[in-house]
Amino acid sequence: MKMEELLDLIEVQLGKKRVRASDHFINDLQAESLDMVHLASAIEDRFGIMVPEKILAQAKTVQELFDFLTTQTTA
Amino acid sequence: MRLRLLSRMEQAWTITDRTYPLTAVCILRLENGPSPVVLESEWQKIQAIHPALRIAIRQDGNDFRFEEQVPPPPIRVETPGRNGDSQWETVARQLLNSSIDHSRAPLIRCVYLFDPEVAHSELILAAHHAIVDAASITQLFHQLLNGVAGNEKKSPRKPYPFPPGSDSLFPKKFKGLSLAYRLAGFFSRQFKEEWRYRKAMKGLPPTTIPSSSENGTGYLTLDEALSTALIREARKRGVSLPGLLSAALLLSVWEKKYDRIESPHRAVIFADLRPHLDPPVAPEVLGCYLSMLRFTTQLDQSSTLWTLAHQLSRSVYHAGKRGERFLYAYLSKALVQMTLRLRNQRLGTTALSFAGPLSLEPQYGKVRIRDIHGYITSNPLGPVFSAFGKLFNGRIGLDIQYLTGELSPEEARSISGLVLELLTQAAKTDAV
Repeated sequence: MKMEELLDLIEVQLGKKRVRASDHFINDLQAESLDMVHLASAIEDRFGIMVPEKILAQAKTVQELFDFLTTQTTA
Repeated sequence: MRLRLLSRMEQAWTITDRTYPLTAVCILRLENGPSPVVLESEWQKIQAIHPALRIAIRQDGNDFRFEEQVPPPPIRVETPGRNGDSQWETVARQLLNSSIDHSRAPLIRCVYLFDPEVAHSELILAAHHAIVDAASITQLFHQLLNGVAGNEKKSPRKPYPFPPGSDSLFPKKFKGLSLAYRLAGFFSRQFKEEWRYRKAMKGLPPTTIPSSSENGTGYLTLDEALSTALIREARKRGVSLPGLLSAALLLSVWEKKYDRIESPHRAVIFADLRPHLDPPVAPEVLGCYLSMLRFTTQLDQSSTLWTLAHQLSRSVYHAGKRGERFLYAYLSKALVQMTLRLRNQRLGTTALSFAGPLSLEPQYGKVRIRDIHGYITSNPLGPVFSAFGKLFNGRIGLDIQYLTGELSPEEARSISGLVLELLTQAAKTDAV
């Protein structure tokens, strides 16, 4: 999985343009918990990776979520 | 030493306990817990770094102010002895039903149920809700157990500054004139909603409020397989976990206490303000950064768990997008004052405080956490049935409170049983 693919997915799911890896889910993307639920569901559908609740709550930025997802794909 | 004025939410909690205790009680059930001597030593270190553990609350005109006591009052670890695996439930109920006098520091107690002959023990913190929320009390446990385990690198030793109030950290668009503008719109929506609610309630039996009551408690812990299935199913259906759990509570109370009579009901959902403040407040900062959101929903024969969960999830979502968590926090003192003065209306039928995944390790050195429970005193003016929800070790837990003046333990168990039944059913992919 590439960062660009995740950024594309986030842009579609959150309805935002020009999302960056450094963006903070709450401060920059104004993502609510339900947005994160939809995003986690979309990640599972697209990449086949289940994002645990703990990671969903802990990942503050796009980069942090990407880091988790890459550990899952390389494990 | 005079510190800052309380935020409006902190003031709401302080005026509530004029009529009833408002105590947050959190219980860690341990295996291979530390000796009371080791615990006491670490607890004293923790007290030294958190100013919120050394304060009292004093009235200041129409407001309240935090004051730090110098020298700090010692908070001893109380060790009444341990008498069986379920003693913690009795102790927790006693603490829930006891007031913590907010004018005298400290506003927290530490009780340790320990028997050197037994591997299991229980560590209990009971605090005035104005100084802690779920995030910070969890952090207290985390810091304490890191100290006990000798994880020096993970144990903060530098004192924290006194935490700021949430009102001063609202984002710019929820301050000054912009806040006034948003409040006007919010008031208008709330007024319409209140009018519709009162109209719909006409002719229905009034909600009885027991004149005196104590708190009853219980708990539900879903196993890991059920928790995972439920989370997966909720995501698949685009529903948030707090929305789903809140729906299960509301539907169960409606069926068991209100005999499925069609009427509007109110669900209170507590929201964590910490990540939304400017700047965000870290969980290590001891304080109460909550907002109390309230949603009205019409329950009728077509109501199912998933329809209600969708409805509540969307309501929370839209309230979040409109920034209503700040508006509710701003108005919380006025809402509680009004409820206390009128005494004719409950704040809601159910309440859910959902902490999400707890930032606690399952094990600290040789100390293993078996489980964790949290209770916040139910007020007779508050909900009929409320729960503190969390995710720990992959399991969803609901710690339940009710008023013994209106529900017997059997009735409360019956409601909890239905909550579990509904959630078990919901975890199946073909559930309606």
